[in-house]
Amino acid sequence: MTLAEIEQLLQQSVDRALGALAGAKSADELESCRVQYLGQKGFLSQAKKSVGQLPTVDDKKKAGKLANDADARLGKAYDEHKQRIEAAAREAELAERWDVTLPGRRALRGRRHPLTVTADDILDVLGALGFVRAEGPEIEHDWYNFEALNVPRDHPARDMQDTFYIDDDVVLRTHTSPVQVRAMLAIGKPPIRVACYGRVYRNDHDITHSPMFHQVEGLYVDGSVTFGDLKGTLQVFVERIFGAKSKVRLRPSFFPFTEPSVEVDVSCFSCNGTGSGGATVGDDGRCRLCKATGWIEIMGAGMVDPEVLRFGGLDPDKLTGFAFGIGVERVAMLRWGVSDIRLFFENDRRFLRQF
Amino acid sequence: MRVSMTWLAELVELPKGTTPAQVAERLTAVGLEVEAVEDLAAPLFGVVVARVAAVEPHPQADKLRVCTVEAGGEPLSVVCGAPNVAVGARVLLARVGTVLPGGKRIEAATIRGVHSQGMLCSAQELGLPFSTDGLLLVDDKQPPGTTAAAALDREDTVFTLGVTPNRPDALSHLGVARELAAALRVRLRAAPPTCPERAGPVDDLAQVTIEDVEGCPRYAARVVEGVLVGPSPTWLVMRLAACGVRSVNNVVDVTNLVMMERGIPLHAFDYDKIGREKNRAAIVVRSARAGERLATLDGKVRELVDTDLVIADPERAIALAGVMGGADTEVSAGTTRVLLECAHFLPARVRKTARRLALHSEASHRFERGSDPNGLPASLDRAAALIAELSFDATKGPERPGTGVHNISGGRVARGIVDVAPKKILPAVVALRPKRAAQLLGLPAKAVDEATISKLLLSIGLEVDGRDAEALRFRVPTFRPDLTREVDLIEELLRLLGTDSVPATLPARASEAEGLHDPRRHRVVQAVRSALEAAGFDEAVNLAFLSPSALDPFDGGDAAGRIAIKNPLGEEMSVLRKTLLPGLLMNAATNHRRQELDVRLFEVANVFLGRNPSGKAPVREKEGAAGGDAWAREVPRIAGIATGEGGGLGFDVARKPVDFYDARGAVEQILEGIGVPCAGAASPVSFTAADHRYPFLHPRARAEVWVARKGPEGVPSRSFVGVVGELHPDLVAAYQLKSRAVGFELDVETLARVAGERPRVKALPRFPAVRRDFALVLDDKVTAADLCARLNDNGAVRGLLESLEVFDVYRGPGIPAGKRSLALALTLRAPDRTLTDDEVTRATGVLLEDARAHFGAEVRS
Ligand SMILES: [Zn+2]
Repeated sequence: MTLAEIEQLLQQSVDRALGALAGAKSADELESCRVQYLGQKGFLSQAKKSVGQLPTVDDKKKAGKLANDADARLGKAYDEHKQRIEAAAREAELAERWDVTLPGRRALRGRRHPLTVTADDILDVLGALGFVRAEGPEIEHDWYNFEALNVPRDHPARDMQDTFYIDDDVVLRTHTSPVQVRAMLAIGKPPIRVACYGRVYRNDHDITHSPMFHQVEGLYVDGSVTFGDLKGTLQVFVERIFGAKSKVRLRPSFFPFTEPSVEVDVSCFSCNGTGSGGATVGDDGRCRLCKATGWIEIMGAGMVDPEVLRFGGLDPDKLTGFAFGIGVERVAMLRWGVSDIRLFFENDRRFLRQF
Repeated sequence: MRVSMTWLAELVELPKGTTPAQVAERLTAVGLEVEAVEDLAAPLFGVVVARVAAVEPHPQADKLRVCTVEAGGEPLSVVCGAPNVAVGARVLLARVGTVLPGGKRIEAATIRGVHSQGMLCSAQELGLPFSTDGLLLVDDKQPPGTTAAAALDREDTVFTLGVTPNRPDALSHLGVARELAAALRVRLRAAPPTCPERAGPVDDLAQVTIEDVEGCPRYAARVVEGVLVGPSPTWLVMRLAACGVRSVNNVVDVTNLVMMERGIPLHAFDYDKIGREKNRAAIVVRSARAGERLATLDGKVRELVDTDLVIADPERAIALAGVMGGADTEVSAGTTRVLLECAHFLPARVRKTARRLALHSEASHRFERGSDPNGLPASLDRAAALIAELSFDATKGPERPGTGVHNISGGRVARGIVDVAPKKILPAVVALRPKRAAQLLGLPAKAVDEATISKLLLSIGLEVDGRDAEALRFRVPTFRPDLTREVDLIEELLRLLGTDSVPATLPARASEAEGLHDPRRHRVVQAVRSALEAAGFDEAVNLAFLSPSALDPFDGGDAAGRIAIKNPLGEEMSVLRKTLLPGLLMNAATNHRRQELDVRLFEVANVFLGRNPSGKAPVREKEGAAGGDAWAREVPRIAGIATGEGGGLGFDVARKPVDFYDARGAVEQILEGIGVPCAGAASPVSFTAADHRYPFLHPRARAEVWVARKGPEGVPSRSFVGVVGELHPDLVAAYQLKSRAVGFELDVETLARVAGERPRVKALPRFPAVRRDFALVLDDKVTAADLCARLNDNGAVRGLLESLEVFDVYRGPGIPAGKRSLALALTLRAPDRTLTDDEVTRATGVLLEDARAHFGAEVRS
């Protein structure tokens, strides 16, 4: 190209490019204008490339200046228009109307089962108290489920638990207590301090009994474990699960595998142990949750019977221990005010999604 | 066990003003849990004794009468329809405002024009245990205005005790009184009963032979002559009613009363119906003979077996020992002589028979738990004396009703007791070390010193036998068969001292062993729970029982591989689950019936896959036991189901019916959640089309999930994790679901095995990636996995390929039938430089050519 031709190209094209830039209505249009006119294949690059090929220095200088001027004008116009378009876009965004009362978009989130939540809480507390987890089978030998727990055949204590039988010597475990003996035999060396969570089965079905339910069993065996240790452990446990103001009452009772045995009551958290008023007050002013006694039975506990230690291969003259078993459904029912145990196993979405 | 407060008060020197609530609190504190407290007078509140002063016919109704009654205060007019209303009778008046036990409220009313100020009551209307017709009449000695509760011996409180099976002694008022006295630190009134003997020697009348000494260590009997069988007096009826026992006749009632009082069951035979030997009634205690039959008191004929223990005469069985009497020798209206039995039977024998025949009686309940072998004479004395006393009924005159026989002298007890005790049961002697008590309970030594221990144990009937160097020795009375060891006595101390007396302490040492548990599996399960929560699945918990037919679609009816329950709650709960899916399908159905269609549920639980070959029963060895692995193969699984619509939440978010990819997506989220990557060339996960082994899944939408891993010694292998798919439409129809259902079931142990270790962090890439999109038209049979696997392996992209992903699938206009278009996103990146356009174009070209040559893929423009 000659100088004259470059001059002509710039003259014609600059005005056209300015017009096109000014006419761009969006950032996208503006960008395509920029590519078309100011890009590598646009007229400006073409002109700039041609400048270097002009024969004289003078021409080069002249044409170079013309090209730079055009570049500057177009650049400025582009920048200005870009800002205008961006400002307009912000204006438009600000003018949008949003109904902030409509719900947001989100992924559907599932819920853990209330029994899992409860068991996890219980196991967390026991974990903090130094208990490690243990597991055992759900289908259990009669020996582990009964005999090693000091419940011989034809003993009335068998009536305390309605048992599902697989055959004469095999049962669905009626409690998590067989894990006590399994843990003693497996670990062998004291201290033995385990917590077992699992499903247990009893032949019983009504509003407060499910044929399958869950228990957490705690066991601690060591050189000189005392009833006082059991009491202290249960006190901490109850405070963490039912609240710091909760009190514990231990009532003498009977389990074949502990001696002494106690039932563990927690002070009623609805009426604060007064027996009247509270969140679950009835028409007569009495607390319905604790039947006006001020106490709620939550678990059984006791000192491991010497016979059970012996079955577990331990020497009852050298070791003592305590054990306790808690019904997870019972705790969950108390916590959330669930009155029918069957709700836990129906898996109605409207129930599950309340937790 | 129902316990009467009035009765207890006769046996214990209760401090003045002791309330029922205080008694309940003390009994509970020593381990006799009071489950309920019932005020027997409460239902009679507002009911009083009234004297009928006048009876007039009702002017408007033939069957009604208008009575004037006096009940203290102004005479009242009451309309009454009972035929036995008569002038001078003492009746029970429910005053206006009274609420009767049935809930009926008495109002002042005008009945056919006559004003009535209350209601005269029958026994039924007051909920009282008398079977009389018409109005209940009371003793003439009761002054008008006396409360009905006082007039009928109903001013009492009944405690319902939950007696644990180790405490047979607490199944009697005397036993409970002993505990209460010890708990209150007051005295027990326990003078032995006396029995005047006015007839000849009992040895001339009866003889007892015990053939089965093991089953019956002791048998004692008395004979009472001149018995008058008839209704029991009010006090006796009421006392039994308080215990929840119905009145039968005075003789049977006395045996029950003495059982409730002293804890040992008694049985009364009609003496004249027992077979004779040498002119004496001959009792034989023996095992039943095979095929022997006995008609029991409840009117049924029982087929006996040789483990049953029977009371017999020389010819036949006449009672099932400890369980139930026989009909042939039952005491009836014509009975004049009674043989009273009081015996000790082996608990296990009674229990076996009672369970076999499902005959649970007050007597068997006590024998099973162990009655007191040395309390027999006192019980017989008490019962015989009372039967004799009640056989002379001064109020009804000396004539036996309807027989013309006069019973002038009343009942007479034969002299002496037939007492056969071939096997003496002596009090056990148990040693107790005070130091051991302090150590086990965590008490200071002075809290359980020798003086305290003796005082406490003596208060519940133990006696000091002597002492050793470190221990006190106690004789344990035979009514406490549960106290045989030192630790049993320590428990008694704790009961009597109260658990409040022990200071709470916290043990310090934690377990060093990991226990019986796989912590890795636990972490994986918790991670899976979190992943599924994030994927919108709610956790379900199902019972482990299924009906056999629910398993058929899953195991093809393989009954042998199932574990069945011998005594199920019902057919529909008779086998244990082998898969979690039926439970989840039932849950979906429940939700669908309740109009909840969008169900997403998962469950983590064991399934039961038949016998475990190594699960033999444990053998007891000297130290502990050997053997005893799990009897069954219990395998933890994770399963999920989704029905209805899936997708996110929001007013403008598109939701669509769930399909295979929702289920697969959940599985991918699970795997990602446990550190197994599901996307990218390095993913070890593969989903392969599954076959007929999964008939419960849609044949075209089912896949096996596999994870590749380095096996032992670095040999590559792959693990089968589980299945995923659409549930078969037939199954969905069978469960009456209202939409398609998809699901998955994975093996937890395998998940734990393939779960990623904590990863080593990789440096972030320093050079940019380049993405190229293209669409290929392919035969329908070519799977996305096959295509991607081949292209991933192409040498042209080795070391450069970051990912190759399908981002769209299209069938429809423009695509020939039997083909589909897959849109792919190819991302390339070099670790050491920025890739040039040309490099990328060249590599892409090689891939497309490979796809064309191998799969016949055409690039779709
Ligand atoms: Zn309360």
